[in-house]
Amino acid sequence: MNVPTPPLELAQEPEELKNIRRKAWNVYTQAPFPDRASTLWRFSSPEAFWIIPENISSMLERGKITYKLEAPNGLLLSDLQQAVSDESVPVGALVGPEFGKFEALNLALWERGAYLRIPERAKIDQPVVLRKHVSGEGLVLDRSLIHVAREASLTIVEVLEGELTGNGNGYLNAVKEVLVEEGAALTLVEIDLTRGTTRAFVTARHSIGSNAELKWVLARFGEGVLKANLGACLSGQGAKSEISGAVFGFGQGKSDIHTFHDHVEKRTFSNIVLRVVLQDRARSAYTGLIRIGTNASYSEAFQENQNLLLSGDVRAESIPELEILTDEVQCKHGVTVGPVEEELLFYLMSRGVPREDAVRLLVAGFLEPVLGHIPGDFREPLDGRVAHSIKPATEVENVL
Amino acid sequence: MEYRRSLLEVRDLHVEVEGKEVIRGLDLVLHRGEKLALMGPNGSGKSSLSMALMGHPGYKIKRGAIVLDGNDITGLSPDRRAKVGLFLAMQNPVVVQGLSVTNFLRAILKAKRGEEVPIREFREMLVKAMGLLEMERSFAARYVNDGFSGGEKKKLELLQMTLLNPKVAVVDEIDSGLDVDALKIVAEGINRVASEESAFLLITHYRRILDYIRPDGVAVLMEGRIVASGGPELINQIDRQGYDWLAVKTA
Repeated sequence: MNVPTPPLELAQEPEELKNIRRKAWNVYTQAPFPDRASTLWRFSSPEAFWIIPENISSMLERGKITYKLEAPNGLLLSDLQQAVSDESVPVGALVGPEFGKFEALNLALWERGAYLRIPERAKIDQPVVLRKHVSGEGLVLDRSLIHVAREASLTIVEVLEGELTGNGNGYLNAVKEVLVEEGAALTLVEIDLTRGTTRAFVTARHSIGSNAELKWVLARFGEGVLKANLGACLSGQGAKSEISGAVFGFGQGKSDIHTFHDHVEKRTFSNIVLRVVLQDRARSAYTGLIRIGTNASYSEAFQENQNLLLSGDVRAESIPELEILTDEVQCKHGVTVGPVEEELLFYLMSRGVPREDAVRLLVAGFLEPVLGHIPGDFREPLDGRVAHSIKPATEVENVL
Repeated sequence: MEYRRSLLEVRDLHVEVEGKEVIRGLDLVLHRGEKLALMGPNGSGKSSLSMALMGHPGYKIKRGAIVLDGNDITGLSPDRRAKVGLFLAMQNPVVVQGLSVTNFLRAILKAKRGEEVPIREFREMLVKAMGLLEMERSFAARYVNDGFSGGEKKKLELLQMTLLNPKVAVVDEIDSGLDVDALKIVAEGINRVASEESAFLLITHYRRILDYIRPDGVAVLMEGRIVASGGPELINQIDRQGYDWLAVKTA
């Protein structure tokens, strides 16, 4: 087949990366569309994330992203493009050309990206803040690579702001690769404050070494469309991963989140807490896969998804999956879906709190187990969105 | 006799829960400054009455009226009833996950005043009220009723009552699940809130709490109706003879 647009080739890039980009471009343009029967695509249509190759250049011209780092002295945010030319940076190690059709688009054509490397044994007390801002009405390819070297520890807060418009053409395709080496500890807080109906396709993979720890907190409050595939591979003995996610969808917002905890080694631990609040006509789908590999005995894995429905027109789906290939493991998962409990509303209202304020308090409380992990300064815009987005006359049956 | 205005009047109240009539023509008057004990055996309708008074949606008022300080509150939502000055200290208050005691109390004070209470003023009020109830400071950071002991739940109910300072407080079995020390603290708390300007309806199964809070009168509820009322001497009679002799009378 005749390939209409070539993958990006930058003169200073290593030959290896150029090859990867070519492979990725072939996958994007040639691979069949994902099977809707697979769990990953059951709730989203691949067509929504497909751009015909002829249109990509013009779409890329109309989308913009900027990166800004607020960090203590000495820690530098590198342009990923720059970094790959200067040193050996493993772009594509976790999300490579064969990973998936739409991830391949990112790998073939990304131009700007963020690269953070935390040196061995570095202990950084203050949170490192990475601000990403998207704008325009086209396609944005965002790629980040974070490498936390042995025994380093820090908290990274990543804030995504802005809006991609253009009558639903605005499209963010983001890929993140994170290496947490032996004995390191990373707390990664991702706050999505994009406005409007921004469409996002997000893939992230973490590799967690022996006795290393990942705490990953995600919050997304808005009316955009999100398809996210979030995973962590517990590749060293004693590795630990905890994912806490808060989603508040309103308007026509849609979120389709897949998580994957892949226990490869012994004595690994994973936990997922996902809290979802839906209002208006918003929809949410969650599919969570836990795999305990043949070498991963004495591991523990937990997964909990709770959905709070503030309107009769919302829809929440939740499908946990377990794949256990060894003995001596402990796994648990749980799902709840339901409206605000009338007994809770009655309690708050009996103290004089009007119904809509009571709902706000209960929604905030419902999300607290996740938002409680977010440092104070960064919580305010989220709390504000909860307070301002909850409609007094939600379509909950008004019995009180 | 000194003329005292009534603060709460319940007239011919009929209440249904899931189609079953649980309050069947109840009349009750509480005067300013009065503490009335409402006693009765299990299943007599004591808690149903308290829920119906507060406006729980599961307790449907089929007939009758509830008047609080001259306002007919029969059809009002629970928050509006609270605004008028009614408070219910619940027997089994619910756990509100993720909502701290501090944020909860700020919200209810804001609702009462119609504006945010300045943080300093709020802190002073809270520290004082918690001190009187012998509550640890760390209590304020915990989630409402989450993992609370029986005594802690009752203290939180009382803390809210103290801050809201209602005209009429209905106190539902606040003695249940309390040891003697906690009971004393809770009773002192109630005595402190009670004033000549307020009225209390103390719902209880046993006389125990009434040794610490002296009621002005006693009413006995059985099968959804008041079957007897009188002075404090009725407490001793019930203590000695139970409720059966009253059941015979109503039959």
